[in-house]
Amino acid sequence: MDSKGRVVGINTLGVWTGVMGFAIPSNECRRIIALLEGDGKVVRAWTGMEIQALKDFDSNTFLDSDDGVLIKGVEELSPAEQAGLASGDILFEVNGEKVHGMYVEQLPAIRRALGDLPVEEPAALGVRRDGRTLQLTLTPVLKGAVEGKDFDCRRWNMTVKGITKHTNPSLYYYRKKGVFIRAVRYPGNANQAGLKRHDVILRIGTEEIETIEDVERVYEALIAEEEREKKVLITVLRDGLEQLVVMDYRKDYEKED
Amino acid sequence: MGERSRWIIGVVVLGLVLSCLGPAGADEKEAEAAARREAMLEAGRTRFCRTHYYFKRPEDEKLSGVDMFMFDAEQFTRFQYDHFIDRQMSLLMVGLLLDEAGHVLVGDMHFEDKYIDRIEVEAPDGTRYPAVRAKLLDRAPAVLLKITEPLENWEVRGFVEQDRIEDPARVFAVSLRRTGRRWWLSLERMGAEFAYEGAGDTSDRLSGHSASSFFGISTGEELFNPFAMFDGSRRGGLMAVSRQPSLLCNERGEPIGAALSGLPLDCRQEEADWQHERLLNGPGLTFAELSELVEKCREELAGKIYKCRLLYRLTGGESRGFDFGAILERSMRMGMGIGEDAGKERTTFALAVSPTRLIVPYSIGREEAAKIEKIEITVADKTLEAELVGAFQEIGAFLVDLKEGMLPAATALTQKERPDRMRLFLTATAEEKFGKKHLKVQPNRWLREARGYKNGYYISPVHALPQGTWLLNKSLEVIGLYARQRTEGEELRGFASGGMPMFMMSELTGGHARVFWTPELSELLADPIAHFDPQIRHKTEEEAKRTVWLGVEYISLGRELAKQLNVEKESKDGTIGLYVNLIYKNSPAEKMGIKNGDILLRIETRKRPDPIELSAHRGEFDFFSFDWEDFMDYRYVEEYGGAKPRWPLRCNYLTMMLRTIGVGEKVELTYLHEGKLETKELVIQQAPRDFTSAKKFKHKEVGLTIKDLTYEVRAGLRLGDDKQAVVVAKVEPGSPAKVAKIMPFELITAVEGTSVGSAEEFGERIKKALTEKRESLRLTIDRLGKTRLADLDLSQIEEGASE
Repeated sequence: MDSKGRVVGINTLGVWTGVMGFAIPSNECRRIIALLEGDGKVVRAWTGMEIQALKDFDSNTFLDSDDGVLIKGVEELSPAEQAGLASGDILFEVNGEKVHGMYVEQLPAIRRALGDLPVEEPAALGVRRDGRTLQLTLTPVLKGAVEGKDFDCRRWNMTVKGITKHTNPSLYYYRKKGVFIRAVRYPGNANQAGLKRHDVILRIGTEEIETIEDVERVYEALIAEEEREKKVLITVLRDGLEQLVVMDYRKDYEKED
Repeated sequence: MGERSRWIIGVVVLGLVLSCLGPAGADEKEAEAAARREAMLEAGRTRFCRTHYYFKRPEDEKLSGVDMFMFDAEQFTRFQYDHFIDRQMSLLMVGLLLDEAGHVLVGDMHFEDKYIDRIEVEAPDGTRYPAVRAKLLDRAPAVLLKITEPLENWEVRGFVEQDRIEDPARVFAVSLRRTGRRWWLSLERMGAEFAYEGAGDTSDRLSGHSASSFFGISTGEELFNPFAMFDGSRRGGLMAVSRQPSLLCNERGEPIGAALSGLPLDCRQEEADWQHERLLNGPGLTFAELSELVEKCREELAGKIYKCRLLYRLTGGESRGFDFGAILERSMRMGMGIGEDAGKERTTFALAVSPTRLIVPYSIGREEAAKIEKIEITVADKTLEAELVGAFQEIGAFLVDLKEGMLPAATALTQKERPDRMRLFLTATAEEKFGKKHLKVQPNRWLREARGYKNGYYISPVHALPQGTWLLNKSLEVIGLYARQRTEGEELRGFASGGMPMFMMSELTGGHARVFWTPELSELLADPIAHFDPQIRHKTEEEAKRTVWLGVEYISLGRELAKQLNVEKESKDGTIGLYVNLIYKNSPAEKMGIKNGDILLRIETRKRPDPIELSAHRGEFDFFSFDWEDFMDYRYVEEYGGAKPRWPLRCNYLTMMLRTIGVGEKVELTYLHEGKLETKELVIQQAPRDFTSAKKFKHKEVGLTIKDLTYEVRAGLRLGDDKQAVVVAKVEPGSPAKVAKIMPFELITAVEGTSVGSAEEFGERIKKALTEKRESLRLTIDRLGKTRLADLDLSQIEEGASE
């Protein structure tokens, strides 16, 4: 709150010592509240373009342009690719609005503007490429889930999560849909078996795993089966290669102290 | 026991001594035996004495610390001297008085005259007499001391004349032994248990041995253990536990001679002497003569042994970590190399066998030979260049030829003679000392020999020999070379037993060495090409990096996995077996029909007697448990500061093994395919270039090392064959590439928006940009499908700067 008692932001993440914290600005909150009051959900558009500041001090890359933003990459099978955008283009106009992406601090505003484009409605883009100016039309689509669902395989001492292209692009690169190991606890069965963070689970036993529900189903069934030997073969994908791991969960780490 | 033998505290009689001698009745026999036993022990009490060696530091030599782990005879003795001198201790050895003129027999400990301060002989009554070394015996590994003062009250019973022993079982040996501070005499009948096996029989003679080693004198404490020698007894004396004299007595209890412990007894004295008369008057060298001979030998060889420097190619940083072959070789040769292994060069010493040809007694491996860039021979103050002719298959030595010039002297290896057992010969080892060639010349002799690999003779020398030592007779002719016996397929030994050869203790000893006598050497030299190992040769850097492939990636099974996959029987409980998890396109594996999920079990090659069981890791409970692949990962991490590529390393256990077997070799591969065992023939093929051997472009100022996109990188990153890109192999710190935040293992797909498909092409683009004096160059970087742009700032880089 400010000194007049008005809400200026909502704290989301704070460091316990109080030196640093993260908050959602009240403006952003108000905008989202309005959206939620309207449709009951926040609709975001996805264009599939990746942007970089014109003057990027991080990688020492500077472009000679007064306005616009640099397109550093275009995702495969995205509206941006379809529209004909390419890496190296400078986007200077969206639906007649000028784009200013000189410095890295200006990028969030551009991302928000792109996300707020009406879904499934063609948008006019002004693009400069090799000194020429192009007019391209891009039709954004609805952005999918940003965060995958997660699940705690308690007995195996690991948590798993669904892969999404937005939060796990390096895993998405190998497998478009699936489940990966978000964390393994130490000490624990998964750790003991040699499973690692960011392993993509392909199979548990003979069951193919594609969604978090698959893991949930197979896991619960295995745990419920009292009679079986508490060992199961898990096939994971690690750095593009399939690995076989035997999960031995005879020991219950949470019961023992 | 009396006063005069005050240090002989106890008498222990070993065995059922004398109990079966003589035909008389039991009591009578017993009494007779007791009398004889007492006679022998009395002979021992009067003849045995203690000799004390006192050492000094020679004025011309500053003794320095010696590497404890170098068990080289000379260094070892030096190590002793240091201790003896520093602590003012004497070295205690058992001596045996041979006659009343004061000749004392002691074991040959090979002390140089210049270190000996004085020698004292302590008589049984405790009187100390000064003594000098009179002679180094030629026919027994012993030294004759001469007491320089007349003996007082030291009388001994005379020896009985007998010059051969018909039945060793009827000879007795009296020895002076010590346990802690207790001195005692032991009486043993020689080889009683074996008396019937070869008594007086020549059937078990081996190359003229007159006695089998079963009739040897027992050793007491033969083990030459440096630590056993240090004993803090009252007077600070140390006990030498090497060969000690024993008094030999006949069945009547009369002394007939003396022999050294731990040696076979030569009953007929054909090779070695034991009779007192022969010991006293037999051939030998005085120590003055020995010094002279050693000096002459040094002079003689100085003009024939040349310093030979091997200069190696420096491999680039990114490849250094992958030279596992070299690491393997190095570990196999630990403790047997000559000179320093600095990685860049090695100093060895070569013997000239003709005016232009030299033999280098150094066991060179394939990886090492491949890297030799230049060989330099130092002749007087000149350096002549030489080249590798080839390395021998059977002996750890190689030949070099001078490219120009001539050697002033050479050795003709024509001497046919080989020394008899026990006879003195000289050994010469060349080494570097204070930057100069130094020849270490020592007397030595051999005691035993055995037949080994391909019927080669293995001898046991009295003094330890380093590999690469030349043997010379007393006329200073080269009679042999002590060098490593190479055996067929030895490089594969580590692979065959599974996992990491580095930590296999048997390999650390560097294999077995033996003497190659001159006739054997001249045969090798007459037609060297027929005896060369064709795999040991120079290779270009590119050739050295290229490897072979089956074309699979795999994981090691292990017990749990074998159980889950139900292959416990075939995989021997998971101790062997490689589970295939990737097959490369167009690889031999693909053509053979190997599929994902198959399990490779064993490879048979003509180079190994048994099939090589495939296992990249050693047993789970093995003390030296070490995973080959883990080690590779570690090297990668070390090399790239923590970064690890997302593609498999091709330099794995399987590849290394196949490469060791050799390109073009036919092997049989046994594997499990859909639960069935299959065996197929495979001809080992050279692999396409991989990340290690890929063509590269390096520009130090720009800070980039760029490599072609190779097959395993494509497979690991799941890129299609049409993907155009190059791989960043290395980024120099502080360079424009580093500033642009380019990371190792990222892909560069385009330069200034146009795609780039090879390192060569990339290099040309960089060079062109530099020629055109461009300020910067925009690269498109690809990291797991995400692209970004990065500018290389070229403004600070001079055109034509180093590449």
